Amino acid sequence: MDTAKLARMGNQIAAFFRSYPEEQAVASIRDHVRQFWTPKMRETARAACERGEGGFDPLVVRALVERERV
Amino acid sequence: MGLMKELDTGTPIRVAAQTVTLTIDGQSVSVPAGTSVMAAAMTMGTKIPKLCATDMLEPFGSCRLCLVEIEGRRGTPASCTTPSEDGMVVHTHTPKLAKLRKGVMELYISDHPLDCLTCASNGDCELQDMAGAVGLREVRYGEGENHVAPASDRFLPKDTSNPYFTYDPSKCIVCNRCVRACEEVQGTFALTIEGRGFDSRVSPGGTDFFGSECVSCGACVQACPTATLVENTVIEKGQPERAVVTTCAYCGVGCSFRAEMQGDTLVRMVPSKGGKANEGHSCVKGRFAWGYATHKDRITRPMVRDRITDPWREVSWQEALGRAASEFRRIQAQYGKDAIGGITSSRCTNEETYLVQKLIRAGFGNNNVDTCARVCHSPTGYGLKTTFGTSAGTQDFKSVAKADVVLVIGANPTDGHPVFASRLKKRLRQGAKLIVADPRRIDLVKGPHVRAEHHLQLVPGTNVALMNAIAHVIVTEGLVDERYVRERCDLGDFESWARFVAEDRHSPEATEAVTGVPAAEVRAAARLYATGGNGAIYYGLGVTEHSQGSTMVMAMANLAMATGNIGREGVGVNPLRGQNNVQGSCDMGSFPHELPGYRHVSDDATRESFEALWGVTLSSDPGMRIPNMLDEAVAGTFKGIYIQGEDIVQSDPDTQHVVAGLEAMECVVIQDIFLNETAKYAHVFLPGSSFLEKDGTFTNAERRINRVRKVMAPLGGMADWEVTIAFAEALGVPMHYGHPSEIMDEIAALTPSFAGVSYALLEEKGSVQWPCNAAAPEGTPIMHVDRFVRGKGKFMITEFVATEERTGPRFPLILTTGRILSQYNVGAQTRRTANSRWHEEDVLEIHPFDAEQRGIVEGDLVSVASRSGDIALHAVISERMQPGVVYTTFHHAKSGANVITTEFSDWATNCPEYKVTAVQVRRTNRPSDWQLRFEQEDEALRRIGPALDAAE
Repeated sequence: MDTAKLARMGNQIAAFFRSYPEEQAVASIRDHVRQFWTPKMRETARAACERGEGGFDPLVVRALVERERV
Repeated sequence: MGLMKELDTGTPIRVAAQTVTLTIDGQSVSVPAGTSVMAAAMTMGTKIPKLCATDMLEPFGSCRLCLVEIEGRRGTPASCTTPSEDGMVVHTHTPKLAKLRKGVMELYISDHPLDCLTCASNGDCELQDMAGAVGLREVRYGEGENHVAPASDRFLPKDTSNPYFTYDPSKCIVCNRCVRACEEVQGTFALTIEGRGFDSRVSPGGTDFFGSECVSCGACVQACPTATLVENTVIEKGQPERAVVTTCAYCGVGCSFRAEMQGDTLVRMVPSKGGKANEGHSCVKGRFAWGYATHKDRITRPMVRDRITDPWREVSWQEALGRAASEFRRIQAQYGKDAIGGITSSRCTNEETYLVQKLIRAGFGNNNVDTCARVCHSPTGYGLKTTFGTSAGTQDFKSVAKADVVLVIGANPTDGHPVFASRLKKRLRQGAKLIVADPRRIDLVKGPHVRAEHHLQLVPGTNVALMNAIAHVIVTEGLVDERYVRERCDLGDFESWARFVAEDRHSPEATEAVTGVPAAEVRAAARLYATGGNGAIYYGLGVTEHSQGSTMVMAMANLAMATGNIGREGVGVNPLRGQNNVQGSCDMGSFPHELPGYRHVSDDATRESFEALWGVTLSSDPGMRIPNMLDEAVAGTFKGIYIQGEDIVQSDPDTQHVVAGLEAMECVVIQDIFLNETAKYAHVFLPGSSFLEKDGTFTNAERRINRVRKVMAPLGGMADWEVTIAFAEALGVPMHYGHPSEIMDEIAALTPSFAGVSYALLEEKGSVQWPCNAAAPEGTPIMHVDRFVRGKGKFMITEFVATEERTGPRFPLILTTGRILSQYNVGAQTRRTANSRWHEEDVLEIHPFDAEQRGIVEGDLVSVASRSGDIALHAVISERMQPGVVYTTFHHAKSGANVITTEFSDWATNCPEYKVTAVQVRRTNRPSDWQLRFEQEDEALRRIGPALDAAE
């Protein structure tokens, strides 16, 4: 799937969770993506986020790029 | 099974806490208080002669046949209108009564044709039965004024205008049963008694049936005790000789029907009074529009072709299945395990759906399985699971009879879910209040004896803003049910939500500019919902098919929790689900992230239980949704798909993208009863079976699991579940089931919410609503009674985010799509019946203001263009629309409504935003390019070549 589409999907998810405190929003976005996106979609999106490409919302970037705190 | 007639107690057996005991013909009998003497007699097996009484209707007391004598009372009261009382002593048969009844019958018969031997109702006529019961031996009245002789001034010819039934006025005894059925059961009030005295006769409002307000639900035909209103199929074929109770295969109401048969020929479908979803009522689709099942267009032989431009070649099952299996294995070897997937059918049974997802997970080795709920109620699943803990509606349909305020949002029940609409209208006539939130003035807003207190006519796409405004009023005016919230819900989440909706920006005054709904109206509606007693929400695709579909579902759940409207009769949040088994297909694990019973594929314990039984290792990663599969196909990495009973080319958004995806695949396998739109792009066609040709279960919108029973052999030789088994076999994944009941046993063994379900239980109870297990052995009519399934109800913050689909100078109008009564979804079934006479083409409804600006008059061909594509439709000028909004249906493939819908979708589930497309409308003189191409390809891609014999 192309990055633009993934970015739109990710940013829509972020738009919903933005109402919550940032840490909670990031965790919820991460959880949502993990529950519903295929590994390939997650990987493509994460790689684009790491390269700073695709116009992903900062919340999505954090959700995809940051490692989960243990 | 013979033609066991359903018991008719004459008048309804009342529901009452108290019972009364009376003596009838020397026998003591106890019945609930309020039950008539007639029904009391029937409970002990005594049939008091009757003509105008039937237990689907309130007593009427006009035929004067059910007279009885009651000790201590004067005269001979009618037993249908006389309530049973304690100590009453009743005699149903005395010489006096016999004489009276015979006299009455003699009068009836004096104005009735004596053509019993050639009459369509011969053998099924209550007038004939009563003449026999009272011992009528002669009619002493000679020729005189009558409605029978064609030469008589009063004679009226038959009305054959309705394609499904015939009205023969000469046979009418003016018992009023049809008129009352139309009023009390259906709620349409299309029929009346015209004229007075001897001139009285039934009339569909002074016109013919087809031209009248009649919706062809069949209630009048069912109620008629004579051959005055009778099904054309009975006229043609004669009386059925056996009946099998089964479940309708149209909408998510899931009506129970008696399929009345002669051998393996279906004579008529009659709604079953024992069916708990419909309690003896039906609509035009289930009752009459079943002819598609044996239509000449049915494909009954497997077919293959190398390229979609080749003609189809009829082959053996073995060859077709072998081709599909070898292609799928080749594709996986060449492009990887994830390059194939499948779509389960919400038209098929639970057992069939379960097998398809099993084949994909266990046989394909991935989770690339999806279903049509993706495009309808996937947001319901997500939203209700998040807030309440289950992906389903909270009530049974019967619950609406206890509702005081009904909020209908984005649904048009009189067209989409007519049998539920009849229940709803009945409750509204009893005084419940109605609030409608819909961009269109749907029929419920103002109809016979039904009127919405408030019609919140919002701009499409602003649902969440409207819901937040209602919540704002409830929170800021102190209308929250605090005790309920404290006991039942997560308080932290409630407080965050309450603070959020209380912000001024959510007030009705602040949101009026966005939603277009006057603030005062919103405030009044909110107060009514919160304070009017039991508040029940019913909703449809106008809620879910938006970029904020899931948000809106959660917003409604918030509202219901805040007002304490969850967990008892008369309340709830209720999706009106589309397909007959869309609830079931979701329950059965048709989503790429969930195993049966809504358990995530990453849940180790769940996966292990399936792995242990299936003997394979399952993927713990979510698979692709339908739009992902299509995207990957266009990108060249997804190459094969198995689609059982779904027509994504017509039903899914952005047709040209769907087609591009299918064209990019190397092996498309379609299993269907017809060569549908999607089959134009297929390489292997496997004949499907109709609901009449197999055993199984459907689960309706109230979570009710109903039996589907086979009444004829599959036309293609195999039922759908057998085809999937054979396909699995060909793929080297053997499945061993001798009957669908064994599949259900496996489902029950693996799915906690189905643990108690078995065919034996369904046989015993008729139907059950899941969860059905040790905790609820007889099923669960109402959910979340003492606690929410997830524990505490969870309020979610529902910020309004406007869709990216915006109107502007190029596309200034909003198009929204929907359905009408006579057609069903993609029309594959209804278009192959006489239902098309009511709706021969999809039209564009447009407000007079918008029409005038564009110089459009009624009937003009207009082009409807969006940034996705354009189509041409005929215009209908309608004030049901608001200015700025146009509407069409998507029942006809040739119209191509989804050529113009966009790829925008719900944020959580990718449910398409069918309800908001920015368009321009202008007059045109030709079909669109897409439509012209459609016409060419409709023929070119559907050719079936001559069968080759084996020697060639």
